[in-house]
Amino acid sequence: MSPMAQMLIALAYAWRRSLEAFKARLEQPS
Amino acid sequence: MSSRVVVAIRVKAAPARAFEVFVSEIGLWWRPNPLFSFTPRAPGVLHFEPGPDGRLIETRAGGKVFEIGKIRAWAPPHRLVFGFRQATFTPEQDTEVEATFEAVGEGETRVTITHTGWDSVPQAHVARHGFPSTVLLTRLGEWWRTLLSAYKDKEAEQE
Repeated sequence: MSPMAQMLIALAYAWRRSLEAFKARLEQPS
Repeated sequence: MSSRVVVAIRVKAAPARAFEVFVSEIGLWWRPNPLFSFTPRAPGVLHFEPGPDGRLIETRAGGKVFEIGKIRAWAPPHRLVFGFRQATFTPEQDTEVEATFEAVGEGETRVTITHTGWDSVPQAHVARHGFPSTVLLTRLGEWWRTLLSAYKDKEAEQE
């Protein structure tokens, strides 16, 4: 796998992790 | 190959609220990733200066500010586009993030992130990040664990 492909997979993972935290924050009971 | 990364998530909130929290609370939900640090220093706090002439910045503990990118499209509550640069990028190297907020179902929103432009970053630069396969495999493993955990929770709801 090329360095670019590996980086893009890692980038997708990084965004997924932040979006899961975003979802948790958005849906937390007020 | 395409350098586009697309990640989507469905949230239980209307687009207006999702957009608001995305912009105004990014400092609370953003998770720094050592592979994509904006500067070589310890990660700071992210903050959007909202509006069509706004920008996304990172403020470090000492108060220094790094501009990650200017806002390039501001269309609340449906669309936001901003630049995304690391300090090591040259002026010609530039990536862009588009966030869209689409109403789906009853009071829910699909938030989609499309991150493009990594082909403007030369292979040599990318390679210098260093992605040993063990790191990659660990990350993939973590990712699948998260996905399977979410799937398990969803399935439990339906029982």
